[in-house]
Amino acid sequence: MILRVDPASPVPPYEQIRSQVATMIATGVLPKGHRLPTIRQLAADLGLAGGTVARAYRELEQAGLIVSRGRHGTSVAAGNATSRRDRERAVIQAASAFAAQAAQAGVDPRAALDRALETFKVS
Amino acid sequence: MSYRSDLLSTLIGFIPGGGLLVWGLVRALVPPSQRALTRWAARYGLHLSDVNRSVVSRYLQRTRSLEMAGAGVGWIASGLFVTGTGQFVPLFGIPLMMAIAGYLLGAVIAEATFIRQLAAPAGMRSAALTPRALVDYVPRLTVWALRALPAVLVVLAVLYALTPRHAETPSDVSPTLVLAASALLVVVAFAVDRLLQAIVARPQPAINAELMAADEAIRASSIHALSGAGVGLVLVGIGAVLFALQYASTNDALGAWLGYPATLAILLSLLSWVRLGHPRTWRVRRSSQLLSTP
Repeated sequence: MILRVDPASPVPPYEQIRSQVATMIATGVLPKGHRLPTIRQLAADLGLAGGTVARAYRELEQAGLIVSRGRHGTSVAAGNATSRRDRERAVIQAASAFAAQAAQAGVDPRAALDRALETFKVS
Repeated sequence: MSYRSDLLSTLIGFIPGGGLLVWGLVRALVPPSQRALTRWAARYGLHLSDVNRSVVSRYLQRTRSLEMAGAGVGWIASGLFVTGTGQFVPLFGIPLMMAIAGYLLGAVIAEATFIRQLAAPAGMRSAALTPRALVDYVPRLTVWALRALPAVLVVLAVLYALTPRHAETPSDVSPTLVLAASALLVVVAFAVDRLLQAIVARPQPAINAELMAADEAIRASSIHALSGAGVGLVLVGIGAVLFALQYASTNDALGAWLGYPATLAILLSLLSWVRLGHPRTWRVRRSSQLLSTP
């Protein structure tokens, strides 16, 4: 469960955070009730401003994917449990988005796949 | 300067303190042995690899040498006090308190100077999606002890200031000194608490699983050293005030009884410093969730 943010990417950092967390929730990597780090912790770990992470969390909350409970922190919202078929569909969608982004950035598909495999190793 | 005070200062201050200082300096020059590394890693449930071994080795070399040298300097300082004032330290446990304070200072310096080496490289940024909390790294009881014991110390110090004195009391400690020293210890305990929170909050290098596991173990080890010394320092302060109360009490029965909790507090301070600061085993509570090695 490693989140990655590429400062050189044209995609804004808050959107990178939002989309990765949303994908992890959709694919069941982040299960219902899983507690997320505080905005301050995640911002410090990623070397980003607190407002950037706060915006990503706010959008995820508005989408009903996460819920903030004040002092109890932020956790994955109830009701996101998905079936195996839904999860596979979400993975296919994520893979399509990944392939499209790699092609758009002009990255060789094999190099992009190698990078994805490296990501699997650390997460 | 009397012969007695010279001898006392040498015996209680310079010899053990000098020994600790030399030990600390030797540790600064000699990297930890393979056995020491393996033992430390086993204590924190860390799998040593080519990726994290050098980081752990550098961490242990720096922290152990600075903590030991700090304890030595603190112990020597109590000897210097005896030499300078020409009298035996009236508060029992002062050499121990100074040694723990020196150790604590060494641990703080080690932490402050080592964290830079754990910084993630420039470029892609990464983070684990798992919250960190102080109680993941240290028993909850330790956290509460660090927050509650300073209150006990303040109550005892105020009690000491209000206690009527024997005319022939053997204690030279003024209530103002006891109150000031207690206030200082409260400030130190508060600072240690804040420092522990800062260690928990410091960025984690989520570059790969092995380095993250090493970071978790290092974080836990630093938190143990600081909290164990912090609790120990307050406990030795409580013991010292209880001994001062024992000497000052006009009630002989109460005075005799106070020696027991005072001795217990001193012994607990040693136990805290040694066992809370260096537990035989400790695994970061969420490590199985976070650090499942592929």
